[in-house]
Amino acid sequence: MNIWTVANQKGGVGKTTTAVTLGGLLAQQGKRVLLVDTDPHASLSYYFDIDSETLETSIYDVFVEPEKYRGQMLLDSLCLTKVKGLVVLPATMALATLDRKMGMESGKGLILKKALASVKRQFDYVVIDCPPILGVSMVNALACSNRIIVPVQTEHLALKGLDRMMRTLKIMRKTMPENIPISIVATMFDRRVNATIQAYTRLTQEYSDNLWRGFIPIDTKFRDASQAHLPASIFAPKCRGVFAYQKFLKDIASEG
Amino acid sequence: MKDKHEFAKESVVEDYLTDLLTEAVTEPSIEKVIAQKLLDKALVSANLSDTNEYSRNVKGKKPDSAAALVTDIEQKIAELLPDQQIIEQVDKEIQSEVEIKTSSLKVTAPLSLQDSLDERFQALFFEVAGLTLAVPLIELGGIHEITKISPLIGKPDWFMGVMLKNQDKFNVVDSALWVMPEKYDTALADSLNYKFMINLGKTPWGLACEKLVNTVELNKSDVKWRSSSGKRPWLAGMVKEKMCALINVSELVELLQLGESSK
Repeated sequence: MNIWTVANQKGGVGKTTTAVTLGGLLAQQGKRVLLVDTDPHASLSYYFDIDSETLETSIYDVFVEPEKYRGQMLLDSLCLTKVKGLVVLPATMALATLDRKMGMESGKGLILKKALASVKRQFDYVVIDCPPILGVSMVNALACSNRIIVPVQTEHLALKGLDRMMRTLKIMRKTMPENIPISIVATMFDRRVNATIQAYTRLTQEYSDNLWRGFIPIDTKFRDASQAHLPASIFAPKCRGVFAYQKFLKDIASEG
Repeated sequence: MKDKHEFAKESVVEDYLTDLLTEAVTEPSIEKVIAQKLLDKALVSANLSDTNEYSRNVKGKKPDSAAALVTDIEQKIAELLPDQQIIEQVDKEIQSEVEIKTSSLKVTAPLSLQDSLDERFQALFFEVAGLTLAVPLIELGGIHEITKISPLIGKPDWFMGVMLKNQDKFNVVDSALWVMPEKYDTALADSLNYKFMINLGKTPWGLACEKLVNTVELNKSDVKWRSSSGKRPWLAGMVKEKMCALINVSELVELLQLGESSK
């Protein structure tokens, strides 16, 4: 089972869009995909029209009662989507209380890793959407992944957020010995805007080791797809944004 | 000069991440194995001591009459409270009340450590700044590897801070500073490498130590006992052969709770 975590400590950079589109593309390839929402805003859950506040269980329960929500109990907490092979572990607002609840308790960053290990036979891919804040949820998501995808909007402020994110990952590597590949994906690329070109140039200069040599163009189809509660790869399979994500998927698949 | 990407509070972030991810599955170090073995011995010793005490208490009672008494009580309880759920509920309430009362109990010194120990007893030997100290195993609460210690403001210098271990909080004492403040200078402080915390009895107090030496079975006659009313009531005596201090845990805890130094 591959576990990909989509993370950035800056909001609005395209994390949910990246997670959903990659999940949709993988499901269309016949893979069994689990999308995990770890953001208290629950954007990914709402994307699929899941109102997690009305559900009995969510990822919050997995964190609070980790021994209970493993295996079948975890599978029972998943929500189906309109897409075959694509299911969602939804988030709730209660996730925002996790840091206060768990604080710095030892080992609380490994709950999700253990939970996902209990359903590893049921899925080919897990794609985790992170909150834009470094906390228990994000640490859990990063700790269980075998690839980290960092979407970064091609603009000045987003690059500052990227600096922070990369620093966090560097510190985490001291604790997590595995050398997990990190892919920085430039998003919302608009070649008509000078600031975009400048930001992308800086990315190529400062993050050449991790930067994916492509970009996700700005595309209104992503917004339309979210309104239809469908991954863009299904809603508008031929749009340029989807094409770019397909290229990214192909490139990371070739890395192994 | 600081890396331009470095966080202003780099260590805070590092501590945070390390704490969340500390449950790493690693091979236990030799020192950890030693600590665990010593702790296991301590537990066995404590259990044996409990068993002996129980044996002493039941001595003289006829097993049949004891069994009959238990059955009788059980029957009476069954008559009074036929609902098993009520029994369990009451049991829980009593248990929690006992726990609350026990936790609020002040640790009082026994009349004499010498009197409370068996003729032969085991002691754990550990080192602090070249000084070897010993603690009777029956008074040992546990041995924990020192992890992150959070200092508290307004505490004595020898109070290193609070260490979290699972759900428990321990008050960690800088043993070198507490035991020999007159010798404690910057050089000594820099040379200290505390690795373990010796938890004292069932209290939240723990002595920081650099090295766990071993556990040794001693006869009471192996110890030159001191009077607890002396200058250092925490010093139960000297183990003659090793010329090291045997700690009276109850007295020591009482001093720590009062915020007193060793003198």
